[in-house]
Amino acid sequence: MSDPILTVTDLSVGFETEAGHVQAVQNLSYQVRPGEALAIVGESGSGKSVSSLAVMGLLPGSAQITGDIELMGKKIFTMNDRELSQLRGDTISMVFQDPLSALTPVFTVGDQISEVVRIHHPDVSKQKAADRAIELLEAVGIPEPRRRAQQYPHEFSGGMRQRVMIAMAIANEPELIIADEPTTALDVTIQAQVMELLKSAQEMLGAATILITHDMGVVAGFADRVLVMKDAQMVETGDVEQIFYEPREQYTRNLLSAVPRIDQGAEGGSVAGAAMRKVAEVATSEDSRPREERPVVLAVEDLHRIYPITKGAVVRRKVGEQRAVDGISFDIREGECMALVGESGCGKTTTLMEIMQLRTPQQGEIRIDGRPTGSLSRKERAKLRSEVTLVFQDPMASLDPRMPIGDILKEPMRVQGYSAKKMNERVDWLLKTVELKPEHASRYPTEFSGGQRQRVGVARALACDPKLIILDEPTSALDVTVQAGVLALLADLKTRLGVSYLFVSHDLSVVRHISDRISVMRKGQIVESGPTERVFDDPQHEYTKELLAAVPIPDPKVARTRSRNVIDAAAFRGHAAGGTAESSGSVRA
Amino acid sequence: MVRFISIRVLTYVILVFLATSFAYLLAASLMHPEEVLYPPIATKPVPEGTAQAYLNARNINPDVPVFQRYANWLGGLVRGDLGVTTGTNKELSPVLEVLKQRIPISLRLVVLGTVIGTVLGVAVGMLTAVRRHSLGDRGATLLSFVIVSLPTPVVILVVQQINQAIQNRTGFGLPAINPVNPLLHGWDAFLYESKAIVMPTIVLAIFAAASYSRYMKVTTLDVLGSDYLRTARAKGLTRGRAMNRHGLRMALIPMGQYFAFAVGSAFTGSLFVELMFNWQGVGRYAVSAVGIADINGTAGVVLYTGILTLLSATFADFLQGILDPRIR
Repeated sequence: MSDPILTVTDLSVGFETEAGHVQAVQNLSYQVRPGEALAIVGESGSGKSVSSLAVMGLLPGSAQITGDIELMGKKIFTMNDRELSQLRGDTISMVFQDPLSALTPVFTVGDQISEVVRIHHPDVSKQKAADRAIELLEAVGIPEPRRRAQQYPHEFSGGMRQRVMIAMAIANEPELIIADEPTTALDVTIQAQVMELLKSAQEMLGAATILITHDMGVVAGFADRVLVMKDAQMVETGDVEQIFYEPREQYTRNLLSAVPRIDQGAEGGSVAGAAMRKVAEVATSEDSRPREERPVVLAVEDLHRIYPITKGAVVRRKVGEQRAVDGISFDIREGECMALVGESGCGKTTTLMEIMQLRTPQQGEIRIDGRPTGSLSRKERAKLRSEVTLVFQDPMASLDPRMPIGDILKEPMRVQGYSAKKMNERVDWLLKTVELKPEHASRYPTEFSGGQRQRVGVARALACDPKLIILDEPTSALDVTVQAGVLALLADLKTRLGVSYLFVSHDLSVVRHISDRISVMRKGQIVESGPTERVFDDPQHEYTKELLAAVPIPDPKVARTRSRNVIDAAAFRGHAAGGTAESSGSVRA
Repeated sequence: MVRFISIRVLTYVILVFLATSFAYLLAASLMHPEEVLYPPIATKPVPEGTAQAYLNARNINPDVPVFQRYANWLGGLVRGDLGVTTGTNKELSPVLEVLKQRIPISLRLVVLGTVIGTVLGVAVGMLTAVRRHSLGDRGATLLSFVIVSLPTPVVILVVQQINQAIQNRTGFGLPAINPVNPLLHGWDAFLYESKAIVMPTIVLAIFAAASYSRYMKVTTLDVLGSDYLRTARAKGLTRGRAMNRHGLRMALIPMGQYFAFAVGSAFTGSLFVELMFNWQGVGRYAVSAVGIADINGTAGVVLYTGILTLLSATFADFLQGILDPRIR
């Protein structure tokens, strides 16, 4: 076996914060061999990102570091900034999480790519570097690379910008690429494309890769080896098959079983998704009355929401329109969970805002309990606010940090004029219902974890016995193990209390476990709608098929069958014939 | 870009017109230059005919409705005539002539003070942000707080005293007051003027730099924590080069808008500076015009400062358009 190119020995990183000493990484040791793909997996706060920044030598000066990192025989911690800079971008490169903020907004994309070439090869002329940037853009699949190179980052979509980041990362043919949550901010179809691109770039360069992620599905299709981290420490490391099929540690097992998966893990032997199957069982074991006999809680008929696009500063004239919601219809019965699924910008949020407004829509009709929202008086509308409630995406931002939990839960009841005694009783009941303790009522939101806060959010939505709860991406800000708990709670509440859900989500695998029916939305329209099983097993519309194919499967054997080669190696090699020969034949082992 | 700038300029022109109109109407209704014709200022009665002629010549007749006087003044403005001084000193000289004499003296002070102050402020702000918590940062932060909280005359006196102390000890020093020496000609006159402008400029620049370094420190700290700067370093730029190439430009973008008002605050500073250094500039004229109820003079000064702000705001927009491709 060849020598490792990266050796991390007994690495510990700590920070002094106002809240005291925080140990971000503790006694972490691992090795990466040439050409190997290592995935470092962990939930938020597990120290996975900090350990990778340490490898880049990019930790802030306030970090207290012990241990050793050796990259191709050079000790990182003995080098100064200048020496490290010669490695960064050349021997070791990095792809960051948020492509929207990772590029400097005031330089053209072409300039930013050619910069990375010229930093490490100052003898390359400006023109050559600019041509190289175009080749690289072509290699990562940007159409019209010559024109696109002249554009600024804000003219690129998120997925395109992540491609640009990858182009910069592979520009100097590094020995090691670190990808820090490269697809977390992207839609699922874009995620699939970017992961395929990263994989093929890695294979083409023969570079070692460290993929840092919280998403087990992404890991299965990418990594050779997996390192699981929790609370700043390594839990377990091993081959990807061993981790997925025979995890040794209980934490790994929990992490895997909490992963939602679209294929329900029926075959393959991966541990992944075990816990989520239970959620699905709870969610489906409901009363046996057929759907048609149950009353309709929410009916949306031919709903439109069109925003005009105006131009001109003084005299505004309409130059076009954005059809955010373009004639959608669906209904939700009592005790039913309907999922509205789609990628960003498809009109999910606009739809639920239209419903929550309880006004007459621009066109079409919204009926709650059979009554059209347009015909309501002011008083009826205020009353109805308690019957249609909302759980927000971000549990950190949706609870007032200056109010104790008890007051947060009482607020909707106070608006509806509940008596003080009744409110106190209900707060106790609500907290127990969402599996918190009644004595938590006097505590403030900051004292709770993300998952607990989301439970408070659910309790608040339940406060006034609602008929319908609208869940706006309720688990997308949570770690998978926490997500599994919240989903289980939601499934349980649905069967116990008979509330209906409108579950808005971008994540098909989450939706699979909890919803009875699914509507797939795209560009303001519902392209496919039907019972969950039917949509997953036998998708009719092209777009649904595309979405399903893009969802990563947390099973290495299944995932491997789906990978494709997407990088344009010819465009990448375009320069090797002429000019910068030393960059292609550099330190390749 | 051209469209963006021209729309902005149009807005500024309207704003300047409104500001000047308000200034004229306020001055015309609150100031009473006609008092000079009556006791106790006038020692003997002025004949009615003479009084009317005096008031009409200056467009300050209180018997004429204020809006009609405003219309008269507007008519003059369109022809490029700002009226005549109306002060209780009974002087009758065209406001335009007065401003023409005084603007060159003031303008060099205001422009130099602003430019040096902003450049200094940007440099200090960026350095203190990059070397945060260092001794230099603490010192600069403390100093700028002290300067911002001191009244302008105190700083002027301190600067003058330091100059005096140096002169006492070494025999060399800068001219204490007056921007020009009428006895000198040619090269000597230029040399004198260059020396005379140093102290007033220092005062204005210190104030500008003190507040600008604060703003700049904040915007630079924002940039230092940004993802794109981390990307730039991951590409292989050292800390310093990443900051110079990627960070500085981003930090300057929000500063452009502050610059638009820099000239305005420099003008305010120049009121004290011109008084205490005995400069016969616009700032000093503004103070005296208000004191002697010179309606046209006051409106003229407001027009001048309005145009000054218009120009600096346009320059700021232009700068921003160059720095930030997103608004082009």
